[in-house]
Amino acid sequence: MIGTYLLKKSDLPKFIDALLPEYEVVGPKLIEGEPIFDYLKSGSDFVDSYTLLSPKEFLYPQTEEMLSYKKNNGEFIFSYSLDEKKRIIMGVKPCDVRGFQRIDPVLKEDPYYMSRRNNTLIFAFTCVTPCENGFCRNLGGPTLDKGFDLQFTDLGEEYLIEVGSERGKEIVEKTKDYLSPASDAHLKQKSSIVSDVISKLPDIKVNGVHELISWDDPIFKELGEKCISCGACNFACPSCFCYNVADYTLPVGGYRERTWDSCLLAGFARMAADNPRESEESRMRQRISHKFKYYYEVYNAQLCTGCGRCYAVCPVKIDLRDVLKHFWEVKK
Amino acid sequence: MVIYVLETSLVLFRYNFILRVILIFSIYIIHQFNENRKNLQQRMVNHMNTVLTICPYCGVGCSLYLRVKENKIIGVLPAKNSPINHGQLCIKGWTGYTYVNHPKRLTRPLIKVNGSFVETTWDKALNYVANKLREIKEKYGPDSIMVFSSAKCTNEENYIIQKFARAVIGTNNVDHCARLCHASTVAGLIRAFGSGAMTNSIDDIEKTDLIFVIGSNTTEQHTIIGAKIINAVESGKKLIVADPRSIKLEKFANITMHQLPGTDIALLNAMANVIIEKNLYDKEFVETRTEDFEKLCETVKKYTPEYAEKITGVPASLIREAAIEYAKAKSAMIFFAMGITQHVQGTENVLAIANLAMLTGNVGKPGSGVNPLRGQNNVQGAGDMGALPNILPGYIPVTDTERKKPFEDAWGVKIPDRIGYTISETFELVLEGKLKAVYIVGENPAISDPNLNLVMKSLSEEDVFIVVQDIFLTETAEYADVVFPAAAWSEKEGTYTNTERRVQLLRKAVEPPGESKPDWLIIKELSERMGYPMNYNSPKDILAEINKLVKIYGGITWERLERVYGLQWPCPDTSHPGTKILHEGKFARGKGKFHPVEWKEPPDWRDEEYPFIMTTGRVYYQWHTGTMTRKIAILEREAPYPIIELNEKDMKELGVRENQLVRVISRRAEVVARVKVNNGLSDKVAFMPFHYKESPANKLVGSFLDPIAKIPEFKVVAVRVEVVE
Repeated sequence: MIGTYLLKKSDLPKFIDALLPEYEVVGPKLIEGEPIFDYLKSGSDFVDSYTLLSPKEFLYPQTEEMLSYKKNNGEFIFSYSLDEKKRIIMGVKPCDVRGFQRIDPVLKEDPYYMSRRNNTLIFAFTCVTPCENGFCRNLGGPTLDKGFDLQFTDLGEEYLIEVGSERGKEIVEKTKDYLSPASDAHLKQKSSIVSDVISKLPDIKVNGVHELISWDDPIFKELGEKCISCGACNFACPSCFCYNVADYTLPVGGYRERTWDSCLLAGFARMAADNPRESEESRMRQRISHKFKYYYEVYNAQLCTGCGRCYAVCPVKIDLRDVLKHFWEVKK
Repeated sequence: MVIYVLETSLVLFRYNFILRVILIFSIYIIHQFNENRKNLQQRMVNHMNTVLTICPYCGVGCSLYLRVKENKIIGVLPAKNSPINHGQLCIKGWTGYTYVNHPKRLTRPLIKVNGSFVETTWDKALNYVANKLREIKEKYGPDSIMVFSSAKCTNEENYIIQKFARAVIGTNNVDHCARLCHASTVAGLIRAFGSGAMTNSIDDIEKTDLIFVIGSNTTEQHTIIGAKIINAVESGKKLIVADPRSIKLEKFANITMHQLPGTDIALLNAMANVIIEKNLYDKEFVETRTEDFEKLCETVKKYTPEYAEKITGVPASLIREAAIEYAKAKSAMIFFAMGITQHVQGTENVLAIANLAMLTGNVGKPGSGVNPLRGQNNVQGAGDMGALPNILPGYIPVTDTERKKPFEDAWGVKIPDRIGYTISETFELVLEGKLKAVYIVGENPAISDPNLNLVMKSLSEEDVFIVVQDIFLTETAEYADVVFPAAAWSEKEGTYTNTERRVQLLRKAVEPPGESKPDWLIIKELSERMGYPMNYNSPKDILAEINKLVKIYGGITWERLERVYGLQWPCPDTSHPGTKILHEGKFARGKGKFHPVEWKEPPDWRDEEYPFIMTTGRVYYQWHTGTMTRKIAILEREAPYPIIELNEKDMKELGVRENQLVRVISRRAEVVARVKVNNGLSDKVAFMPFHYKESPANKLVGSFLDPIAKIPEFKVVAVRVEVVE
């Protein structure tokens, strides 16, 4: 941490307005009554609220054109563009930021994702109340140690702002009119808020669960039978990154587009000769094992960030909290 | 503006060069400043919009937000606050929007010249159609013209389309695809209860004790409702499933019955038989709220479970158990769909279901009811808006002189008494020379109607004028003389009515591509050129007229819909909160009427030459004729080719394995498909989805119609299956 500051809550809209001319600012705003991440037109649009979906689509859109081509005198001319706009995602929760961090090593060669990632500042917001379905207690918790440019914590009348990077320092420079220095007392206050939230979150062990997941566990069949293949868990997950690519032809050219994909769909793993994951059981096994075992074995971090969104969007209420508890039960 | 100032400056300061230069320079500075500010605002305002709207696929009517960037939909978010889907969507809701931006969208009107389509202007195309229709009307009479309205169009559009048929052309020949799916439901429930719609609401699932699903693959076709049923079972409620094949829902059922297609009356009558015989029926309800109970008793006497077992193939003990469970439940809901409705005995199937519900007092209270699962996003609305040959908006019969007067006064015309033609009769009538023009909006009969060889022959007739108004050049549009490019779902505003009678607001998210226009606007412009001006400036105006003339929509105004997640009709005035449960206290017709029905063998039954009973249907990933879903990469990947489901025993007998190609031959046509296994199917029973133009299952289906509802028997087709060498 490179500095701590205080911002009066009533000054937050002005703080954002000061940044709007230079950056596109994305944050939760009320649209027909629901808090949804979207571009803010003014600071007063911003609401500090948990949202149904993470702001992943601002680094990695649901649908994205990868390249287009035109035919000209028998030659094909390809073109693509990268989004390099300067952006701030503000109000993003620690579980969502960790989601970006999990995606980073996988998509590090992906120019579309990386150009957005490198040009986007992260203003994380500590969770000062436990969310409805989260279980991040042992997956990082309601606040971040690193990975943010600025981190805001609501202390009541004011926000504690922690600076986490050089770019964060630049922001503080630009908005110094609204900021005052914070003291150790404020940091202590944040600590006690965070401890309180942690104590209210379910204590589900995750450390070592990757060793408990066996291929034949009956839970995969049980949940696979319930699953209705809507893809919502993948689409809502802050750390899912799989996509499908499709080409479209126009009268004189065409384009290639990618869209989010779901490993719970049968066609996801189908190849020319066969489909190694035809059965619902095998697809459920893939999702759960990838989240809690395979990714950990490669990157030494759990892919699941404990945000609970998959449960919120699942029509048949498949709950990873129950799945984790099940693995510990089986161990016994 | 810059040029204007420059010109002015030249005039004013003609003789003073320096002043002119200063003026021009300052204009330039101000202009640049303005441009920068506008660019900044553009950047802030235009780069993404998030619009709340309703899903265009099925009758559940989920709410979702569309992410729009530079006039293209790039993403979707489920609406958490919707009372129907609470932040959930099925795969079609999540991925089903990419067709809107597909390169093959129709963007200009087309006229067929010497067998191929030529792009033309709206003026030319509309004038041509107006003149042609006027010509045909004068020469052959208004009843020689048929109008197909669309269950995918909004209520406002359905209203304006039936008004076009009645007021401008002067005929009741208007129909829509409910004819092919729930016409029998409407006909049956109007007779039994007095109203043809779902009696309860979707959230009654949380209040019920037992759910009986018959003829519906709910988790695949009405996914959010299917999921709610699964959740109800997991919380301890009972589930009975009756379907000719194995469906996901049966994994959660207490009792599963695999009846032969087309034998449902025997099954339902047998259940009634058991309930009456064991004295498990609701005596108070039957005595005080129904009539003709004795007639029912008489008829079901012979339908013992043992008798029904011979017809249906379901073990008698299972039928008995199902009947007892259904009757004993404190409150029970019946859900049904095409398995019940798409039969020659479709209306009678629905009457048998109504009988069961009345027998056990399961109408008019929470957690109960007769609940048809309407298919299209707005098929309920299309019927409500009178896009039917015998009914005006609000279910007023066209023969009711008294009650149709308000419409005649409002529209300034006399509405004919003659009941119009249906979709199912249209193509034969064209071949007989009785119909000279068919105007098709948002419908693809070249894939969706039965007996496709006849349909295609009819569409190819020289002597018939065909206009198709659609978003893509569908298989039907290929036959058209004129094609009007229409706006898609996210490109217009209006209202849709879902299966639980909930009218919800659709908000516009993107502009239609090229020169395509919303359906209501095309009809309005055509109507003007035919001498009947329609003074609507927007769908809001049309809804205002509907509020005035359609009693059940009386209080469902645009302003109210902007503030709430829909209102369920009947909603007669603006202070009424909408109606969750119908027939509370008394039935819409007063007393519920028992209609005893007898099982008859379906006309296209199997025999030695065609030993399989094939039933047609749908899969989760494709939607109907595939106009939308076959253009969506992920959905097309999931279900890319035509299949036929058989059980393992039949596969062994034929000597085929999964994915092998077979020829499926019916009494009138043949198609090719790949085999897939489904062991819930009884011996010599098959299932085939109808989505694929390369092997349209409806080619195999005959034109056998329910005499009352005119719905074709899509669900029973005799076929022979042969290996393709």
